[in-house]
Amino acid sequence: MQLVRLLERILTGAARPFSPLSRSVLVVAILTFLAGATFFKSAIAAPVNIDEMSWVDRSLKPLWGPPYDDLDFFYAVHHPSLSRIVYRTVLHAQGVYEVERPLVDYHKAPQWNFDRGAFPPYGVETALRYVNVAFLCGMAAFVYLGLRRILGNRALALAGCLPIFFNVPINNGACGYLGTDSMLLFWLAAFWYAWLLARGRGFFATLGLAVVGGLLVSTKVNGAFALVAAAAYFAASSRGYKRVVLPATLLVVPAAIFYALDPIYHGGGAGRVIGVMHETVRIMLALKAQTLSREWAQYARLDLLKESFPYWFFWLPALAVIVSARREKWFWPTAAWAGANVVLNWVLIYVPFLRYAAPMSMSFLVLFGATGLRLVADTYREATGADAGGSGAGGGRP
Amino acid sequence: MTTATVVIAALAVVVFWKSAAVATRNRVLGAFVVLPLVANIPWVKQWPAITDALTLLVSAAVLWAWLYARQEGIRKRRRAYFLAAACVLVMPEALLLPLAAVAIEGWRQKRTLPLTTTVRACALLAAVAALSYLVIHPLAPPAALAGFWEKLKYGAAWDGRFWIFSGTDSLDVYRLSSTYGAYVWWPLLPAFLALGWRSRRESWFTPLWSWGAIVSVLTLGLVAEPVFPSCPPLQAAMLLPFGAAAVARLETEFPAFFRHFTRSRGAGDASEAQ
Repeated sequence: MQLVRLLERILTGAARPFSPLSRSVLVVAILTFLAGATFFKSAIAAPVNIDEMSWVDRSLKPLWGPPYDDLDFFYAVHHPSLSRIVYRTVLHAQGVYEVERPLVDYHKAPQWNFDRGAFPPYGVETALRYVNVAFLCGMAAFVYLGLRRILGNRALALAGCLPIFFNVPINNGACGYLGTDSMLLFWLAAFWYAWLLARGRGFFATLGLAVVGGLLVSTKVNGAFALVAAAAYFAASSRGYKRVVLPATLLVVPAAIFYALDPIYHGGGAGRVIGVMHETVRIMLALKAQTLSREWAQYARLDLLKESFPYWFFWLPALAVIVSARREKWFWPTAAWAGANVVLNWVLIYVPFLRYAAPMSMSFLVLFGATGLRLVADTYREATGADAGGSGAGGGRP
Repeated sequence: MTTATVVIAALAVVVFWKSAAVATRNRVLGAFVVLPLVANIPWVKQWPAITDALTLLVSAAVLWAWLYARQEGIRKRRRAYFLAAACVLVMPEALLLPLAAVAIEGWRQKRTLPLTTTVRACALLAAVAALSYLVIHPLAPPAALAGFWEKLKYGAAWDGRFWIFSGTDSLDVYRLSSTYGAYVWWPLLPAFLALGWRSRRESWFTPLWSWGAIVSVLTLGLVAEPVFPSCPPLQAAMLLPFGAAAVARLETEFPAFFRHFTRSRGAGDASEAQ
């Protein structure tokens, strides 16, 4: 019973049995253990994916030179450049400048490609998967910091992180797959945390948020959903000239960073930019048509929702939990960020790959964790009459 | 047979909707509660799964009888017993669910309900099940009575995978749903339990949450690796209790909006709220 009472007092914030430094060390140890048990394990255990050779190849292609052929151009426009830059840096640090393996022929079966050696060497693949693990650890850290800020309680913030660690799309989809998805999750979480910090703090805080947003869209274009939500939020919540300046900052600065980091747009003025964007859209639409022509890719929009966002089933109880926190100051930034990520990703995707579902799951679980754990703590306090001592859930900084 | 499956499943959904409407005191809100279940049942699937659909219907009927007896008071309790007996007559394997319902209700109302009444009701249900098993279901000979316990266990452990996964027209989406396993809802559970705690004084709380708990525990405990997105009974067992609690919470959050939806509380609620 003593242990139960101690746990209860820790969860309600009424007891602090360790010093601040010890508590921080304990939190880092728990987060590290969880990352090892989930992300690290997934990175090692995930089977080789047919796309991985393509990612090694595109990372080793010269980024700043002109595109010499159609494949170079495709690599440059298929995804923004930041993940290529990161992977390339890691490979060069390892002394890998070239991989003598054939490229994947996507018209042939995966086994045919594996038989002819169209997959990255073990050392290369593992190193890049560890990069994913590092970014996912960063994501979890930002989720923890955000929840800690909202709930004002380390134990509850850790509890809110648990679903992120054990989430199937994040573990099985993003972690063990070379690509942009793990980095996207990292920047999405960083953007959410920066949004919580920047809310109501003026231009320079918003500028910092815009810089994070620039890195977010330079990782994957889906990141623009959160940016648009942030711009709409600042337009609605600001007063006076800031109603225009802050949203404009959130749109212009990320666009400038995106342009600066992606050399395919350089050296031709506005005409060049428009031409490349036009060609990018054409390539993406062609890819979509090519994918949708296959039998396995036939999904209705509702089926996509079922597959990529299994929490849709509990929409009504989830709504009841979420709206119960609508008067909190952190609510609208978190809800707008999560809502944009869930709804717009669902509208955009056309095949329910797990890695595409990862941003939707992560965003929803963060919003639900913040609102749900607050509801749990409030209910517990009401049921037991426990005093949070001013530092329990809901006592965090807005 | 496929048509019969669809008709029985549709009946089950209607009964679930009626139960949700009783709990939320509004038909439209009841429809919102059961909407995900409707979207998840494979209506166009060309596969006869009458037993699965019947299991869903019996489960829904037991819930409705429980809620009905609870809402309408002691005079209607006999009708509820008869409805439960009818369910057992149709599907003797489902005996455990109405038995548990009668036992829980008898224990909950031990001050007003004599123990003999509860025991008699349980005995009646067991007798009807035995009668049905031995006489009406000729494929089950008396010699198989020894295996009746196994049937009882798995008759109350609802598994919808056979229905969803069988057949050549099973969409990839149903097969892929196994990715998420049986426990996709676990991150949401603490908050939903908090919702339930806040609505514990509602008249529908005991029937709805007990029914949901019985079906969920039996399914998760007895079925080997159930798949939540492909198991309509498990979905219903979570959807209805959480959905009713959610509506109750939304009513307190947005009273002006919900005033247009819901009728005033009936006598059953008032007596339960003590």
